[in-house]
Amino acid sequence: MKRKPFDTVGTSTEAILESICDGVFTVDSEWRITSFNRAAEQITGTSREQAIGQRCSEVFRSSMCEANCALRQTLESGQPIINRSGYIITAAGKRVPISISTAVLRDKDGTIIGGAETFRDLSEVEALRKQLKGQYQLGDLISHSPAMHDIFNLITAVASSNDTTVLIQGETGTGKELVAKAIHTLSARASEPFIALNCGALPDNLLESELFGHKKGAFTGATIDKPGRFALAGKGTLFLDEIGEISSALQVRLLRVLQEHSYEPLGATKSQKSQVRIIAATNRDLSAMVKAGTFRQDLFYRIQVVQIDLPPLRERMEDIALLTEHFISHFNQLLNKQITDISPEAMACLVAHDWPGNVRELENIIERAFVICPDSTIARHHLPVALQTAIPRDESHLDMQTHRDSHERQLIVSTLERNHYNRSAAARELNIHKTTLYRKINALAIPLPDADGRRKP
Amino acid sequence: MKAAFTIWDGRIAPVFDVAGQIVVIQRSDPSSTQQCTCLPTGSATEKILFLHQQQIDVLVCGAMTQSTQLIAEAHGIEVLPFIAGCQQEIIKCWLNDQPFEQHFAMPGCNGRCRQTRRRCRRGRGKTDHFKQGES
Repeated sequence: MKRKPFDTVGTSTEAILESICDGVFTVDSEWRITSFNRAAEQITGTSREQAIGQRCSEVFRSSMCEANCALRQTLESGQPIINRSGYIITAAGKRVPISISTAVLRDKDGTIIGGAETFRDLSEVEALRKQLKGQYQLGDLISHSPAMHDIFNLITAVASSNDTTVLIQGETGTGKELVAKAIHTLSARASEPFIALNCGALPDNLLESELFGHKKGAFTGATIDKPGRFALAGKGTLFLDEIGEISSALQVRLLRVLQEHSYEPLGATKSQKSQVRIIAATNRDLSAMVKAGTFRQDLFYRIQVVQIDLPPLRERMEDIALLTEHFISHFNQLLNKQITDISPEAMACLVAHDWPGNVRELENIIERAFVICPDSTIARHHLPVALQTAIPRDESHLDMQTHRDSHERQLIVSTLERNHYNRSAAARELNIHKTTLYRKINALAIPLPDADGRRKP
Repeated sequence: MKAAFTIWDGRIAPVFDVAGQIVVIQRSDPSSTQQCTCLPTGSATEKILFLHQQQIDVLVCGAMTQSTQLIAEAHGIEVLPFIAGCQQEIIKCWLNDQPFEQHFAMPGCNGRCRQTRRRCRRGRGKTDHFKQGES
């Protein structure tokens, strides 16, 4: 087949192909590219000169190339393929979602001489779809809050730095252990053990033995050598939850391990090397504890190389519906039930709650509802009484507008509180104009304190 | 040193994410039989974890996203991505310690290979291959 690059636009067909936004290329019977239009250059990041004469799979680099080649199927069956979805990897290493269509090329005698493939860049459509769905997921963590999205990016970055110590701060039930597990799973230590220890659950001397292990005879009752959590974690990750609860003496020992990468089991005479990565977590404000003198400053800076602050659920109320849906699906699998959804009245109760126990509390409430719900829909009366009374019964029969107002009100109140009632800062965070915020405050009858947050009292 | 080459149809597989097979070569024992292994069918990350379990030091492959490359490097695997060409020729170059990224770069992907070499030189500089490239 004569190669016809579009470098000189000779015919009207070529002019049309050059002007469209869909990428088009043709191949001969040996899968070598014979023409490559302007849009194909832009989408793949490969110039026409570099593409012509090369194998299509090495220029197009599509997820379909190896086992699911649409063009091969078309040439074998003679049938075109329309709008098959997949993705390509550009020369810059970016993944671009595309849809492709294929056709057979024949000469004047009807003999097959090759094939044509057109493809459309779906990046914008995909971005819009994600924006509409607004959902981000990382491991077992799920959210569509922009704040959590930033945290997901931080987790990915931290995971690739293999030895960095991480401090995760957040209220109880915000998913600190899930974050630690996500960091471990994405890191090079994934195939090594992940060992978790709640430092607040054990008395000091027992915690020391749990962490570092002991030798036979180290103390009364130590009848055998016992490896500690450092030894069990090996080259993996040691997750120390509630690090703020450990005593001053243990803080010193832990600091030494972090500085020298070695420790001594109780009763041992020789040090043991530690290659473990430490991820610490707390629901307390460690910097405040440092100021109060109850937590060692040097240890604080050792463990806080990277700090991840998890927002409480009440600051990401937009996640309640998503998490509820996630837990319904999870418990359906776990408990072998077929619950499909939650009633609007029950959802209104969930949204009205302030979630002191965060995501764990929501998970427990959905689990409880699963136990007592015999139907396919979780209703208001399947929720704990405390949640049912959060809003009066007649208020739970809300229409769409009232639901939206209630949600908007909650979002505005929490943003104002976070910004110390500074209206301009709150408007900026909500990405709305200040006057729109004032209008909504009046319309929703949101009470404001006398101080407006601009001046210090 | 152990290298994995993603293969398809006698050539380097065009896309790592969907590659089905690798050939594993041990540089210290080039005369040993080239071992062909199936890659897991899941995500690119699952394939990387599999290679890590197989104690692969170097991965020679076709197109790969930047995020997958970062994950591979975080697992201690040196990556030579965007390579295209005959599997045997590329393996021969690697065994003979000859730089091949420029000659066997995918169409339009010379820059990607150069970036990788620079990053690896700045980083661990683990393989002899990269050390040679420095001189």
